[in-house]
Amino acid sequence: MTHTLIAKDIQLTLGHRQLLTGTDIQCRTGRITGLLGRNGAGKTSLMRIIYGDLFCDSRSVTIDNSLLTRPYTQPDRIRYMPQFNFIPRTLTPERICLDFNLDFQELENVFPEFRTHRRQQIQHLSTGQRRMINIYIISRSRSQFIMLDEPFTLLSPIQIEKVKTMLVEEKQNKGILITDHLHQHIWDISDEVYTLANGRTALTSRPASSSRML
Amino acid sequence: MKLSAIIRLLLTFYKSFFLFSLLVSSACAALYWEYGPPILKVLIWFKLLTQGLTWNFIRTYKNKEFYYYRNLGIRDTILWSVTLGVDLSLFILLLILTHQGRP
Repeated sequence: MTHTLIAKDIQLTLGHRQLLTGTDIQCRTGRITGLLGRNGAGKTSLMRIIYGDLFCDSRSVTIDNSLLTRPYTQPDRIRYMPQFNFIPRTLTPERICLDFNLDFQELENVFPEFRTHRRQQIQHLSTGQRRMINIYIISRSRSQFIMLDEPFTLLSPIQIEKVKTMLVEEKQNKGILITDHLHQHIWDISDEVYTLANGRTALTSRPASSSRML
Repeated sequence: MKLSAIIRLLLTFYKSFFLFSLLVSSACAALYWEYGPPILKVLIWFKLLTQGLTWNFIRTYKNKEFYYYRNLGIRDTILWSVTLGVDLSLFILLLILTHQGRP
């Protein structure tokens, strides 16, 4: 079944600065929506407002025309991966998979390096491995939409390719909103890309050279 | 989500401040053993104060982990109300046992 997430008229003021001025964005099942913008443009704030854990001046977030007042209480509808590790550091990969109702064997199949870390606390894993688990659990969990904030940062080129493959597979089941400073990868997997500048979003077509980092 | 899974998550969260909390409760029980009922009011206020400090500390230094529980459908208010409620109940139970064991 196809679902549509629409966030519109989002306004956010921080101090005297109006960060978002009537921002709109749309996401659908089966599509990866990229979001690009410079540092401080408001990409993370926009995601957090959609998720509902950042208060703002004005917001309207709907899924299939149903208004979401507190989306963060409905993980079956939307999940959010922040740009930092959010998993308690004493948990093991096995336990994390159990919490998210995922099969550890599948994690092992996608990322064989976890075979030897099944019962190891994630605080003892490398930064890249922790990031991989963050991305995996959010991407694979059952949800209508997921938002990923800078998933490619801290990953090796091989890991990035695996994540891209996984996301392209997962878009069959959900809508994906993704932002990162590594633009090339966003362009590679996105079906449409928005640029956030001066508080507003605009649909953007792929430039001739998109590897530049903002 | 199953009740057992919710309890497991609540226990994980409680474990992040359980040792400190147990230390405070044990200290209160020791003081109650020594001084008895006249000190009860002070001990209760002390326990509530340390719970407030715990809340502030976790919110400040472990706020990133709240996204883990949110992504599993557990709200911050549920996490705090259940774990602090259980913690206060354990404190009261410890005081009752101490009271009964006093000479």
